Amino acid sequence: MPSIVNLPPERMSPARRLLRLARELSAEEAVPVLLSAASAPDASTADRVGALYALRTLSPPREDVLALVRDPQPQVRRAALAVIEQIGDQAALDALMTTQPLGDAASDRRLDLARALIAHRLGEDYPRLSEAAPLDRDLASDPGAVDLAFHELSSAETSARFASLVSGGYGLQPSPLAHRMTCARGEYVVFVARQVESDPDWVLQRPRLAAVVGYVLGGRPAVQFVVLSTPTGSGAGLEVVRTDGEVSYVGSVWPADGRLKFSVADVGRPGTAPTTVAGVLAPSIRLERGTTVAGGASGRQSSPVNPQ
Amino acid sequence: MAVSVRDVARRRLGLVGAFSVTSDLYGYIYRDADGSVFGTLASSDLLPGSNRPVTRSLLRHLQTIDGTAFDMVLILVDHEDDYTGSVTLDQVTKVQYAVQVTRDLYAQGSVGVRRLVWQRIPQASAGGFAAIADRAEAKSLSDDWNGPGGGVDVFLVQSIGDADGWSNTPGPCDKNDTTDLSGAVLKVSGQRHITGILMAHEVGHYLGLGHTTSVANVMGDDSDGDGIGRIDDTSLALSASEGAMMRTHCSMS
Repeated sequence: MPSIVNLPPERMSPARRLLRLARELSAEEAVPVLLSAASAPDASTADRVGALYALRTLSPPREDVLALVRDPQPQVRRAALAVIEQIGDQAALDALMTTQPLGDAASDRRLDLARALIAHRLGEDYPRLSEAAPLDRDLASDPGAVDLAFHELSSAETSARFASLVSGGYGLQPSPLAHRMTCARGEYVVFVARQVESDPDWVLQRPRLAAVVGYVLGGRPAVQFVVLSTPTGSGAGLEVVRTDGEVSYVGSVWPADGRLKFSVADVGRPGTAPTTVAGVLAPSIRLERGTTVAGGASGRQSSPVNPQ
Repeated sequence: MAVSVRDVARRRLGLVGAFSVTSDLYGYIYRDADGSVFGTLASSDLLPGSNRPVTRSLLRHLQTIDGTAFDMVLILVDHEDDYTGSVTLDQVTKVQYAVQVTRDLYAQGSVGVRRLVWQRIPQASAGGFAAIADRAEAKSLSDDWNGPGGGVDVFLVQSIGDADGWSNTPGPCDKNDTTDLSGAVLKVSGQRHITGILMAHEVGHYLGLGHTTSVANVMGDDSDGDGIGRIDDTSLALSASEGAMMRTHCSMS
């Protein structure tokens, strides 16, 4: 569950006051306020980053955000890329393609994701983010295996859920009916691009942003994964990429018996639950089987501190 | 009934021989340049247990850690021991203050914070997790990283885009269960006193507490039902029934 600290304005930093003010304005009025907070040289990094994240759903001017991609502060760079991922067009992609490495691994991974995401949204070729292959395992025989549950949302629920994405929707035009996916304790919403159902060739002929997957907590979803498809012969490869650029699941989509089928599996990275999902994307989306192993993902271990 | 420091320290923390009350018994291992474990305080920074800036009751601490209590694994995200990462010395003393605020608040419900396990995610491995965009990134952080042992993981980050803190209600005890958030995530860029209330609030969620309809409660006001708990400087109350609920969580011993 989320918590918000409510303090009187006089106890907030100037940038924090701007952030609060922006929430009370129309999008048109809020954008310049947030941009000034994001660019303020005397604002804290936390406040600048907060302003940028608030801009993800507000379509700020591309050039202003691109300038912040080269900010000296890595956290600001990554937050600016998170905004560009939402609004990036051909001009933004061109600018990002000529952007030199940003100097830290996390920002460069995010830059790679931003380029890939915009290219796929525009239907342009871009190298796959990872050479990782799906792990071939029989998860169903694992004692900790749990079936995924898939539930079709109504059109109204889908619209409401998509509009409530705190992260923004990455420019996806969602299918009228999204699906709630329950994964042991976790709840997700899967939004597939509407073109996938209506025109199977759409995903087989060009690179595409095929879907986004929102993680639900506190009643609202935020996108945790974007699904990029890349044509491969008669089918297409799928990369399910976490929003920090980590490729977590890979798979494929292929035509069979007048349907468009898909399967994905995890790549065995630490912290990602072993999971397989398979089903149909067109003519209508359906989950045929999905298995995860709750408690099966050993994350990385933090290190003891050594106070100085 | 008389309480023996040595007896409780030995039985509950495994401390024998000479030990420091501050660093071994309380777990406050950082000091600022002035030697303070709580850093530079603002005039509004008052510990709830004493309503004074730094005064804390050793007796109450011994009583709570000798009762039903849990360990807190404090994970400093993007931290280097020489402070060349995102985390500053001021922030680690702020975290210690926040823990003391949490201890004072939980004592109302007879819940102890027994052991502090200080951990870090090094800068080279932290990726972008020092600044969390939203709940999905909070989950990615807790998916990727675990603290040791059976304590409650508390990830301390510089900022969170869509809230001041996140947690599940209740949180799991299996830290490898990445199907949902497996730790509390909170930002350390706020002021000391409110960071303590925020810590008590988020860990309270992890231990099973939901929001309330009163801003005076540690678990904040969600009377409009939007799922967001609003807290402020006055969110200091914890009821006996809330304490009883927390004591049933699997991380308690």
